Parts: sequence; structure tokens; C-alpha cells
Amino acid sequence: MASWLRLFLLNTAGTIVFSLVTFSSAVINAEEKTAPLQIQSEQLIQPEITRREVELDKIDTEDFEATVFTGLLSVEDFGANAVIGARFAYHVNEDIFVEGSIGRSNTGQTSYERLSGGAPLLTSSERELLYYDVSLGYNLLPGESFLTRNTSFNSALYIVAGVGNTTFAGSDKLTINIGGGFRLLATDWLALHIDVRDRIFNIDILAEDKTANNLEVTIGLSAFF
Amino acid sequence: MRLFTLLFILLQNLLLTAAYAEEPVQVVKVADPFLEMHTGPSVGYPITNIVKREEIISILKSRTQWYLIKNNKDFEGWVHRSQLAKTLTLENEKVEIKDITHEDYLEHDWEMSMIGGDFGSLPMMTLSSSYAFTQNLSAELSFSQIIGNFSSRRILGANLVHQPFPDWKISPYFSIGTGLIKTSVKSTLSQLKDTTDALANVSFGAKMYLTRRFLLRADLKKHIIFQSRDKNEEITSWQVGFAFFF
Repeated sequence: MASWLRLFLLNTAGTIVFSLVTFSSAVINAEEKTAPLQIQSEQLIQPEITRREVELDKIDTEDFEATVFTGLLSVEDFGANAVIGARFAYHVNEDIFVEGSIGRSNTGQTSYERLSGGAPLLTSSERELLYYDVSLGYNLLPGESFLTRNTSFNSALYIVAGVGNTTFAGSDKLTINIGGGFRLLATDWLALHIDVRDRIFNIDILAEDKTANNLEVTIGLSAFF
Repeated sequence: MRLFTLLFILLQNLLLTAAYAEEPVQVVKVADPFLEMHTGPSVGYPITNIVKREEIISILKSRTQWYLIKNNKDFEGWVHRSQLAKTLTLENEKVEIKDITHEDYLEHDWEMSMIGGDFGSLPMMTLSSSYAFTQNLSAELSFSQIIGNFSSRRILGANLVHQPFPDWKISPYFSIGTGLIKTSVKSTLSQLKDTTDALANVSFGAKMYLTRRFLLRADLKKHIIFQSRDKNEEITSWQVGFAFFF
């Protein structure tokens, strides 16, 4: 009886194991067989979408501004003379910008030199004035300027202050500049500038050391890029 | 005839793809309730038009945090980035219009700085440009000017800068460098001659990320000037200023 039962149990277990193995392999086989079919059906129903990617990196940024300018620079005791120069600005945000300027001018004779008729105080190369500076600017009054009733342009008033160097009368002079300007935008990228600056440096040509306030008025044309 | 039709379709397809490829602007769908179009890139410029949600616009260019857009009626105007923050693609996927952040700073290559201060009790100004090889190591070229009462000096230098913790908001750096210093004596003091000497320097400083592309920079430097005279000149300088990166 015991051996019959053992045989029966063994047989049953064997059948279960066998059927499990065959069933699972059948399922795996079935899966293997149906899998490519599914992919095929997916490919069949997939529509062809032409995606239009938005690439923000490709948007043209125009935070830099390059300016050429000309005007008058009045150097204390040496008269007002023509000045030419260039500026390069980076606009940090809608209010603040940083700019570097470089300019040159040829100064005239002092009244002393003209009246005395004696030896000139400076040689011709020392009379040449060259300056550069770095300034911080702030756009004060952005708005529209109406030239006529129907013609308006974007414009802004700004103030600037900075430090730099002036090479004049045979030496370098630490120069502070303060001033302001008016920017009139003719188009989105082209602008007209009118600037007034005070360039302050110490001068010691006439024996004593004194602070000279040198006013500069310029008109410039700039491009944003 | 059939061949002709086929050719026509092919040509039309070609032209269409060419037109598609040449379009430089980015086309997006508005997701905000509405956009305000200003005449210029600042809050001070008047609003002349609005664009409603679901309308399709083209982004032409940007200046600071403003974007020049064109609506479907070909009207152009400037819109602030904050209003474009929730823009969608034509397939209704989200487009993120991000500002320049500290993360961009960590990945930058070029940096320009303008600093000024004191060089042995004389005013000093420095303009420098650096290229980052890695987040930690960069090479810097600098031009300095020191303006004195009786002489002025110009330094042309090359430095190697190491920033051990670039991701810190205030990130310290160390640098070693070498260069040339030219001392020009005022023309009225003609008994002394202009000289050019070699110099070496070590410095310690810090850079602090401010906003967008801007950094604040402070630098303390020890210079050793190898003079043609017997004794070397040792001068300490400090400078502070701004830097910006690309």
C-alpha cells in the first residue's frame, strides 16, 4: 500500500513538473513568436510625423554694441579740439551696461604760448592726447521720441561713470569720467548717440599740480550685434 | 504624363524642404494667457499689441532678457522672457526659455575682467582675458597700467589660474604668473631712463557670481621685479572689479 502510494505521488509530481516545464516553454515560445508580430503591427500603424524642433540656442542674441564717434574735446588751457574714438558695450540687462572707450585728439596751444610767442611748452607728440576707459552705464529714461506727430523712435537717456587712463603731455594720468548720453534707435540694431562726458585728471605742466575738468561732446553711430 | 507628375511632386517636395531649412526663426505656440508686445526691449517702451494663448509666433532675436517676436499678422514687438517661460512647440511640448545661470558659468570658456586698485600705493588698472581648459584650470593674459606722479608702469603678464571649488558662489582662486614690466619716467625728469624688466607673481583671489554673465572679482598679488640693478623690487597689489564670461 505504501509503495503504491509512493508510486502514485511520484507519478503525480513528475506529471506536474513535466507539464509545468512544457507549458512554460510553450509560453516562452509563444511570446517569442508573437513578439515580432507586435513590432510589425506597431510599425504598420505608426504615422510619419515630421517634428519641428525648437532650438533656442539658435536665436540671435544682440547684447553687444559697437560705436564710432566724433566730436569736440576741450582740454583745460589747451582749447577745444576734434576727437575721434570708438566704444564697445555689453548690455547686462535692460538697465545696466558696461562699456570700454578709446579716443584720440590733438590739442592746441595754450594762451600763454600764443601770447608770449616764446618756446612751446610741449612737443608735437606730447600734444597728442590718447585716452581709454572702462565705464558702467545705467539707462534712465527708456521711451519713445516723436520727431513728428507720426514718426517716433525708441530712445533712452543714460548716465555713465568710469575710470581710465589719459596719455597727454608726456605722461599717463589716471582719469575719472562721468557723464550721460542720449540713444536714439533708428532700427532694432542701429542707433545714434549724443554723449557729454567730463574727463577729470591732474595736470602739472604749468609748474603746479591742478585738477583739470575736460568736457567732451560727441555724436556717434552704433550697431547692436 | 505620369513621369511629369512624378517630377512635379519631387520638385515641389524639394522646394518645400529647402524653404523649411532656410527659415532661421524659431516658431512656438503661446501658452501664457497673453503676451505684451513692447516697441523696444525694456519695460519703459509702450505696449502696442498683444498675442493671445494658442497663437503661433516666431522668435526673431533676443537682447538681454527680451525677445523680438512676430505674430501671425506679421506684427513685430519685444516680449519679456518671463512671459515666454511657458511656451510650447507646435506639437504641444514644453519649451524652456532659460536665462543664463550659474550652471552656464561652470561650462564657460572665455572670461574678460576689468579690475582696479592699488600697486604699492599707486593706482593700478588691469584688463585681462582668460580661457578655461577645465572648470578648475585656466590661462590668463593681462595688461595692467600703474599711474604714478613721476613715472608710469605697464605690465604684460601671463598667468595660470587654479580654482579649486568652481561651483561655490564665492569661489577662491590661486595663480602664478610671469611677465614684463615697463617703467616710463615722465619726460620732464629726463635724467632717468625708461626700463623694461621681467617679473613674476603669485596671487590669491576670489570670484563671486552675480547675475547673468557677471562676476565680482577681487585679487591680491605679490610681484617680484627682477631689476637690472642688484636688488629685486617686491610689491604687493590689490584690485577689485568686474568680470564677465562667454
